[in-house]
Amino acid sequence: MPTAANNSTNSPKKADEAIGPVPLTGLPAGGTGLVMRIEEDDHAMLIRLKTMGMHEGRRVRVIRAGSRIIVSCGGTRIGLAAEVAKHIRVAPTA
Amino acid sequence: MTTISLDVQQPHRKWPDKRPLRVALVGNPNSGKTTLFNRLTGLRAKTSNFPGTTLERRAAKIKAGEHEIELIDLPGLYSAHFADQSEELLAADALHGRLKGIERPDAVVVIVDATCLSRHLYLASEVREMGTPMVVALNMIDEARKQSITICLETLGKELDATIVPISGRTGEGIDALRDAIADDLAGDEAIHAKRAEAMTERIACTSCSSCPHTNRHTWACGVGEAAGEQVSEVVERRTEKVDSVLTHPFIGLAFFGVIMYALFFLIFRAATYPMDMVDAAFGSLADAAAGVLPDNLVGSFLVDGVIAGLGGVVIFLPQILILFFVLTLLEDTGYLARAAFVMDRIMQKVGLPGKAFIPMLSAHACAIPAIMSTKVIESRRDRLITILVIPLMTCSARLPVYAIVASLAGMILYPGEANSWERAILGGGLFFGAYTLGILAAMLASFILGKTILKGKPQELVIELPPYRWPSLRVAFLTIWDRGIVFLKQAGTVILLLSIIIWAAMTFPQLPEDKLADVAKPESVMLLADYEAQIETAKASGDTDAVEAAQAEIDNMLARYSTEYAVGGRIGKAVEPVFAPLGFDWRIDIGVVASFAAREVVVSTLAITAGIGEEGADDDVLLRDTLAAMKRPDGSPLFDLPTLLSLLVFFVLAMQCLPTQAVTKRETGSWKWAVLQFGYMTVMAYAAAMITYQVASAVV
Repeated sequence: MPTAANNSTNSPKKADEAIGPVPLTGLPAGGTGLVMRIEEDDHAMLIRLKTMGMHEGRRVRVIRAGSRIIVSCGGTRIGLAAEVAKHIRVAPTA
Repeated sequence: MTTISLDVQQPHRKWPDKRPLRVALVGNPNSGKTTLFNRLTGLRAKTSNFPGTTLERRAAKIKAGEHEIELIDLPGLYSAHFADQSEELLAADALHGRLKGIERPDAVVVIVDATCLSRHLYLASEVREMGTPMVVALNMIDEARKQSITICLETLGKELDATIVPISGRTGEGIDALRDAIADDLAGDEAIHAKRAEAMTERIACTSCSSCPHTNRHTWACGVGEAAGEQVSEVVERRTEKVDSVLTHPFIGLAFFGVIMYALFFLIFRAATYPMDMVDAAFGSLADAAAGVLPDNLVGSFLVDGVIAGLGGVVIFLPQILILFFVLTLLEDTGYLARAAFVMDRIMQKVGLPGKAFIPMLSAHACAIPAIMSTKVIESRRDRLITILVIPLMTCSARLPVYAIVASLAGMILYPGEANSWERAILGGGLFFGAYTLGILAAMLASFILGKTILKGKPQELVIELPPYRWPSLRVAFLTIWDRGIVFLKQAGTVILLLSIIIWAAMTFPQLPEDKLADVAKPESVMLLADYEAQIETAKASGDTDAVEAAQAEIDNMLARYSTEYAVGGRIGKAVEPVFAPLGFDWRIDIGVVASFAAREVVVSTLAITAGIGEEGADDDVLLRDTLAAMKRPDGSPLFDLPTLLSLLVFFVLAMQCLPTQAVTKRETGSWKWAVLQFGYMTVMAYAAAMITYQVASAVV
């Protein structure tokens, strides 16, 4: 769905494009990105992420990477398991 | 700072009936809601459950202006509409008045954290759309000031269409203004709020064009936050991240957590001993005093051995409960517990539990009761149930007297003679360590199996907020333990008392009158009895009161022993002898096992009584050990041989022998069926493991 922040999620971007969305687990510690979409089947988990501030258009910064990740997201620090983070697609920035 | 109110002149609203008005307090987790609630209500708060649920409801009656209101503290919510965990869902339902038997609140106070505006505005806007009178408490205004954050109250007031009151739950600033604002809001016109709700919905819809309602609201919230002067303090962020780089490190963080847990465990174990001894002594004196005053009959026994002993048995748990909750509240207040859950998650997930389950499981090594009470923090009901079900498998302090006597007897068998005290000590240590490890392994196995069968599903995956570090509030900690203590006494305490009385009855009735003693006693005992009676006669004649007392004491011990066998509890013990025979137990041990289903440590004193040395004999370690070691089976072989000792140890490690724990399980799960399941699976596990131990050990030794 197009959001105010970007207009490219609708067009079929291929993985070989220069900067495509990567899973949040793909960002290194210190890396930043813009949340594109969340591919989570589990509705409950999706809700949880969204109400905590992880939604399309949000800027995130990875504080700690690994099997358990910490991201800074809208003034909040969130710890999450890699299994959850890998469903969050971000476009790396900087 | 002044409150920003709305200019519209509002007519005075008349409330139809005389009931206290309901005001709900909502906010995100970690927003300082509890601190604010405590500020407004102090000791007046009462904790109960929302009807038909295990969701706790803290409420208190306070005055706001001329209104008497009931302030209700709801659990932390990230969103009033979308909630996935059962507790948050219930809280959201309670807020909207959808819970059976609970009406919608007449007004809502929303807490917004001044140092983290936009996320809290999400919830605030949802509440505005409910159409009820709403006041916004802009909390942590003192922290915001320290971080040089200035929030524009006018902007907030306009965007949220509500009264904004800057406060600090910690210092008490603005609390009176908050009360006034609540009173004002309740006096306002109803229709206005419905209009404001509509306006809010429009404002949010206009902000962005995403079809996802979450994104819309977040975008609106971010926009307003920015306009109102939201800032993230660089200093605080960097400081928090620096500390986190250590505390959330997979290895260092784990080690640090280990140290904290050891300290907590040590505190509960050691520091609780002093008040526990005091409780013991106090109730002991009370019992003695009562026994002196009351007639030496059934009523007297009921009051002394049933009621007073039962009450003592409830109060004795308080020190451990209070210490555990005090420390946990402080740790949570600092923000550290979130880091602990983060660091433990990886390991715990391997046995099918979330990281948060670790702290209750560790504190279960002191006592299962406070541990089960502290599983509240586990959000997923499935995870929480599994944790509660396996907690009693961990070795608690009540099992230690049993371990000690087993180790002592085993030492005598394997390393007889004074010269081998070193080997005996090592053996003892090994047995203790083995017992603790067995408990932990059994718990891991049980969680794994339960998670694949009765409580199928995956453990909740880690998504946790790591709040900024803060200085904890002693005030909140004290008020919390006051609350927890009262809840325990009222709810679990009554059940425990009732069960103690039932056990007392089972061990007392039917009674063996002293003159019938000769009828039921074994031939050797009858001869001994005649002996003692003769001794009393001679001693009386010669005026030797000490000898009279000594002989009478022996008769009393004998009476106690046969009374125990004569009573219901004793008869059950004898009746189940064939059941426990494959474990190597005989009926004397069985009576002890039956009695200890009420409380584990009772087995030692019961063994002492059935061995004929009376309850006081249990206090004399050497006498007890020697007496037990000398007990023989019908075929002349010793009762407590090595295989029997090992199987007894294994049984006590794994068996569910604590009715108070079951009472608390029922309370925290909302149903006796979980307590029954707990009892059932643990008993089966204990029986099977003890039997295997006995059979294998008998074949090997």
